[in-house]
Amino acid sequence: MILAALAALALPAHAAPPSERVQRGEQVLRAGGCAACHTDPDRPDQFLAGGRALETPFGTFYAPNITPDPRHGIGGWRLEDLDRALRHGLAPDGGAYYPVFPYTTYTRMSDEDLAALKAYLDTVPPVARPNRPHRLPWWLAWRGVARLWQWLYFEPGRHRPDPKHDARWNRGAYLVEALAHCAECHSPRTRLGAVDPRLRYAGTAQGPEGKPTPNITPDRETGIGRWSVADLADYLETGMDPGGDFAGGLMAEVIDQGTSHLPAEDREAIATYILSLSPIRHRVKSPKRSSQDEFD
Amino acid sequence: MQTIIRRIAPAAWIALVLGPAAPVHAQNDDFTGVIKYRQGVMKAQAGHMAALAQLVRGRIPDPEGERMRMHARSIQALLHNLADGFPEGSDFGETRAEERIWEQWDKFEAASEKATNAAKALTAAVEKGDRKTITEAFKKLGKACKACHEDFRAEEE
Ligand code: HEC
Ligand code: HEC
Ligand code: HEC
Repeated sequence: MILAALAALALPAHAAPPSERVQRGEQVLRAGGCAACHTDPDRPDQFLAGGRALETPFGTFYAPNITPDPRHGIGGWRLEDLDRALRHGLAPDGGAYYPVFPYTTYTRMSDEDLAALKAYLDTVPPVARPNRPHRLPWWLAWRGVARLWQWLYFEPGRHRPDPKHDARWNRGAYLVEALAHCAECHSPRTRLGAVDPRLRYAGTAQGPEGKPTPNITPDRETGIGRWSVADLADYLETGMDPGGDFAGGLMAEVIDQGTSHLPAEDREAIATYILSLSPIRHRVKSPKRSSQDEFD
Repeated sequence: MQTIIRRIAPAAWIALVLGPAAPVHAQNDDFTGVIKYRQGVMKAQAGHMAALAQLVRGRIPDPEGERMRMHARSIQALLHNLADGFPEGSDFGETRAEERIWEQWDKFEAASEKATNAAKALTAAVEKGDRKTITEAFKKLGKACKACHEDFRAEEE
């Protein structure tokens, strides 16, 4: 099975010319939001050189250096190594990665996008920045725990298009479910850190860094059911919501480092897919306060 | 086997995962006025930005740029002295202002000035009337709003 997949990787069906492939790879990186995690916000010049702290209820993780630096980065990696990391959650030495690294999403990435991403990563300037060890409680510091987690919750496998929907919807579904990992932030998690399937995309009071994320299902009262596809596409480009307010926090990073760099058609595809989800009534934000209240 | 572990594991590990501590906020009534005022100013800016977006994207006719001029000037006026609306310690009560504002006051003021300059550039672009420059200036202003919210505004609860 794995051998067959590797053989397929070695010979992508429609091999794009090198420069086109590198460009496509950059878009995969942008859609995947890799830069937001793998770049230290205080050192934007050290692009993809890691060091950013990711605080979770389980401890603090530091994203590693993924520039082609041979000592501190992933310079020596082959395509198969990147495949194992992104689509199987495994390090070259066989150790399991913790699921803060959203391979649970990237496992759905297509062979072509993976090869393009590798081609792009090879062109990034290497940065000799050493990795910082994660700060974890003793019971988590052993990677066997991550392997156990994978056994319980991780189902590797490619994304399958849905023939009942048109090409735009399917493009959006792929971008969201295989790359942009919107659900990883916009859903509550179970005690063991898996996305709660019943409230996927319905927001949570305890999102990344312990902060709330809004409900982005199209429920009219508690979600974004009043937004049009153009509204959501605009938001993913500029950060402006339909009321003229501007995104802050982690979403501003997702937009700046990720979705604002995508082609407009891809943002529309994402918006089409998100607004086609089943609405879930789940209130995260308190109902809008009104400055009118005191005059009533 | 997997199902069984899935069921019992959360109960066994429950003690290990610390729940978030409930925030204890002292109410400080002295600041309610200034907090409401600055939020009103922010909302007014947002209203102008929402309207501008439709004009900039050409979804509403504005041949002489009359409407755009009005909105751009209003935002510029509203952004003027924005930092005055944030007296030290006014992060208690019904507010999303982060304490970091006063810890990094210079940075906050710089963010405010950056937005003011971006609004001036937009007004100037509207006067000149070149569509491409207007679009770029509009996006730049939006970036300035977003940058300050990213650093100094808490998520909505
Ligand atoms: C939410 C934050 C986050 C995002 C988004 C993310 N990563 Fe990571 N990544 C991590 C963390 C944290 C680790 C370390 C995991 C561990 O140590 O178990 C990691 C590990 C890796 C590794 C292994 C590096 C090594 O030295 O072993 C690679 C390669 C990698 N990520 C590439 C990517 C790519 C490519 C993307 C985008 C498609 C991406 N990551 C998106 C957080 C992230
Ligand atoms: C790293 C975590 C993260 C990821 C990934 C993420 N978001 Fe967000 N999102 C947030 C946070 C945090 C907010 C609240 C922003 C604020 O405070 O202004 C937010 C806000 C939003 C909002 C505004 C909703 C409202 O009611 O105002 C929308 C829409 C949205 N995100 C859509 C998306 C989509 C679509 C994706 C995937 C392409 C995505 N998000 C990926 C964290 C994330
Ligand atoms: C210098 C920093 C800064 C700049 C620049 C800035 N904001 Fe804000 N904004 C804030 C802070 C801080 C808050 C939270 C205020 C509070 O809750 O007391 C806020 C709140 C808001 C709110 C929510 C108001 C409410 O309570 O309902 C809106 C809407 C908003 N800003 C829009 C904008 C727009 C549009 C721009 C650009 C034209 C902008 N802001 C520029 C810092 C800034």
